[in-house]
Amino acid sequence: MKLECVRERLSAQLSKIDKIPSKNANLPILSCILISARKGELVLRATNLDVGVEVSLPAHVDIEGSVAVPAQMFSSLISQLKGDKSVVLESVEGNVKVSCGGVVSVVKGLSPDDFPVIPEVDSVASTTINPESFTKGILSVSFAASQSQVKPELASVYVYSLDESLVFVSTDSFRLAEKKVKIKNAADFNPVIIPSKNVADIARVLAGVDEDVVVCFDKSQIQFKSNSFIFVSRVIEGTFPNYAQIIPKEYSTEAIVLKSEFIEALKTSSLFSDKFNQIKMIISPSEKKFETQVKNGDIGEIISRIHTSLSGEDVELSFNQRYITDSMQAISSDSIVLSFVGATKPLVMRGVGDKTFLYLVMPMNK
Amino acid sequence: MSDQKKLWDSVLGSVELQVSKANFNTWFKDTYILKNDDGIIYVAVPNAFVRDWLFNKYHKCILKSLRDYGGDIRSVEYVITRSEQKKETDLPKKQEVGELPLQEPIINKDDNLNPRYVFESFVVGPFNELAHAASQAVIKKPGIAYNPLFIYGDTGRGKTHLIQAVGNHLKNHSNQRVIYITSEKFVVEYVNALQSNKINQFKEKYRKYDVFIMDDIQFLSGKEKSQEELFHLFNTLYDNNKQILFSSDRHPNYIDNLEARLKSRFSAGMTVDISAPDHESRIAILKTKIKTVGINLTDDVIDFIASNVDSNIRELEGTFNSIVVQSQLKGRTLNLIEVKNLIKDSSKPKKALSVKDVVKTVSGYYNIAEESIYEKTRKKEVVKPRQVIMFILRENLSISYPSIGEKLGGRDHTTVIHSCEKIKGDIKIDQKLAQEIEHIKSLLF
Repeated sequence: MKLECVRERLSAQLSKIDKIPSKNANLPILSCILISARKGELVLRATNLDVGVEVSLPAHVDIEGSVAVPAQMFSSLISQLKGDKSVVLESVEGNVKVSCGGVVSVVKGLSPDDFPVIPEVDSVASTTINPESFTKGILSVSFAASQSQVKPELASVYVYSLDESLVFVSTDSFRLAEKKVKIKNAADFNPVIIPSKNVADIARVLAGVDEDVVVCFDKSQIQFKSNSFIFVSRVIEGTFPNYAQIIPKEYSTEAIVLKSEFIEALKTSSLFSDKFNQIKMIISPSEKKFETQVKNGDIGEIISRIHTSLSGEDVELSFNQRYITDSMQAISSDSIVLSFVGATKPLVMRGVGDKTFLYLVMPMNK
Repeated sequence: MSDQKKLWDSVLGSVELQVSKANFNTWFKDTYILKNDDGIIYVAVPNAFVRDWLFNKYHKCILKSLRDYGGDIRSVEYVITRSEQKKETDLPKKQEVGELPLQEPIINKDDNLNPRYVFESFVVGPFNELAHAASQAVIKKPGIAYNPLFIYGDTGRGKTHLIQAVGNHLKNHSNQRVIYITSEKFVVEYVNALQSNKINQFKEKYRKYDVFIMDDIQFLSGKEKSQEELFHLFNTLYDNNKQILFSSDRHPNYIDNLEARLKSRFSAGMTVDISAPDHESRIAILKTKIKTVGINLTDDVIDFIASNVDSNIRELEGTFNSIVVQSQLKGRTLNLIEVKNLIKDSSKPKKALSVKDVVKTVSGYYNIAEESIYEKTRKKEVVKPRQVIMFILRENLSISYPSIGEKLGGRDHTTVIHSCEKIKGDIKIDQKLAQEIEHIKSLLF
């Protein structure tokens, strides 16, 4: 194998995939990326047997061929080379010789034959989507997915189509995030459950892609494909819980707060939180006040009064502060509506004037 | 089925010899034979990577080994299957579990009552029928019939269930304001109120209820100020004919460091105990549980659980729940052997008790020197414990009279007979002695 390509482009493509190979796989080949030179292009492949990705970039190829090299090592090397605009990769007895400007290095390689094949998706259905909208949608909710793998469908993001939009949902059974994104061809999108740990990889690969991407589905996988990359992720076979029933239809108390002020109050309060992160909210339209309260026997306590417009009945409840803070990055409006149904029912948070995002948190038991 | 497993094990064995350990673990873990369809073997693999890899790299090797061990095999197909349990998830039961993703807190925050505790789910047997009858009387005439109602018994016997059921019933049917609180929480709130100078609000708060329920009263032991507060609260509520219910793990008279005026008040209404459930009651409890969950268990399995998990209803429920989860996972009814396996940890083997253990515990309980039991002394404070020891050895360990006598310092067997008969007779008249022996037994067994 021998080829020459633009250093910055190689570095950019590598940074999209170098997080995928597992760091401490018991099979060394799984921590590698596969470099192949084909007619006029350089193809990079990485996989951890849960997701698989293939990206390509234009290159001047002298001799075709391929070799596998440790991902972290190779990616760091390329990103640190500064000498010249172009870089030359050449395989020498199974190793890769990298030359750029005055620097010549040899990276030990492994046999390309041992590198796993990235599975084809037997395309049952396919559609095209806008990658930017998709990334935005899935990143808005993936934080709410469960960390534990006990129920795989809860450690995932559920994506389905509804009236011209894609709906993204995750829940860990204590809170739930839902984001609707208008997207063309939404109706052709098959409902899928994507493991949340693959979401970051999807976002990285889709970042900066400005053309529409083809999405294919089969029973156990989803594939994203364009001219410059192919990405395959496992999907969860199972049913996502029917969550519509737990979203309250009516509210008894509503508070509208300024997002920046609310974040400020939460941040200061968090200094006092105990290991349960409990924060108490006292919403009293009758006294025209909205307070947050954190008490900690060891440290002390803090009460913050927040400017707000209130309506409805008085209510007092406690939450896990982290669950509330988590949602802030997903709310884009500068004011937030907090809606309550009572002391034991979930709190619903939305941005003012933003119908696309909804966040639901269960109160804590006393 | 086991033939297929055997066949696949042999195939894996021969593959393992040819590839490195890391390779083997990565590609062959979680594979198994799904079915053998007339010479075509379907191999289950966890994901598409493994499917493609096995097909591309190891197909020939697998096919060869399969033919070596399994004879007439035409070809091999690879099928993605999530895991062995996946096959059973199609059962309807599993679906129900996923239906409610968010757990609404079940306990009502205003009165701390758990709506699950109702009379409908309370199984009445000889061991608790008096307590049940008393609480029924309380429901009919709250504040008048038995005030206060004091229920005691060992942990896991259903005290909390019973007093909460009274609370739930009065709340739902007669619209009474009910408060349920544990004594520990009462103390914490009292201390907080003291710290923040809100003692008056604290007093107000509890005086407004129609029904006051306090659980695990024994934890008030030694908390003098809280006891005093409770005493005043008790008087106010009592004078206004509000119903009061208490639970504890022992009779009020045996709670240490409890003020005498509280003790006498606790005993003023009705004091009932819940003893250990008998075998038939345990079966009845299990059958009620089975009905609510809706699974099948054969009678011999129920009988087995009931006879192995005795004394404690909470443990009984725990054991039952683990059986339910197991059978949901397996998607079928468990048989006796599986159940035996499952509960071998939760049913504790009977401790082998020696005479020395009994002597040690009893002398410790009565606070006398262990040696004095074996001596010839006839001091009053030694005689009674010695008789109690003989009684327990005879009744519970079934040791013969002569050998009891011999072991306790060479006494005649007629002495032993006399002691046992005496205690047996005394228990019937002397409530205090009966309590003491119950207590000693709970320490021993």
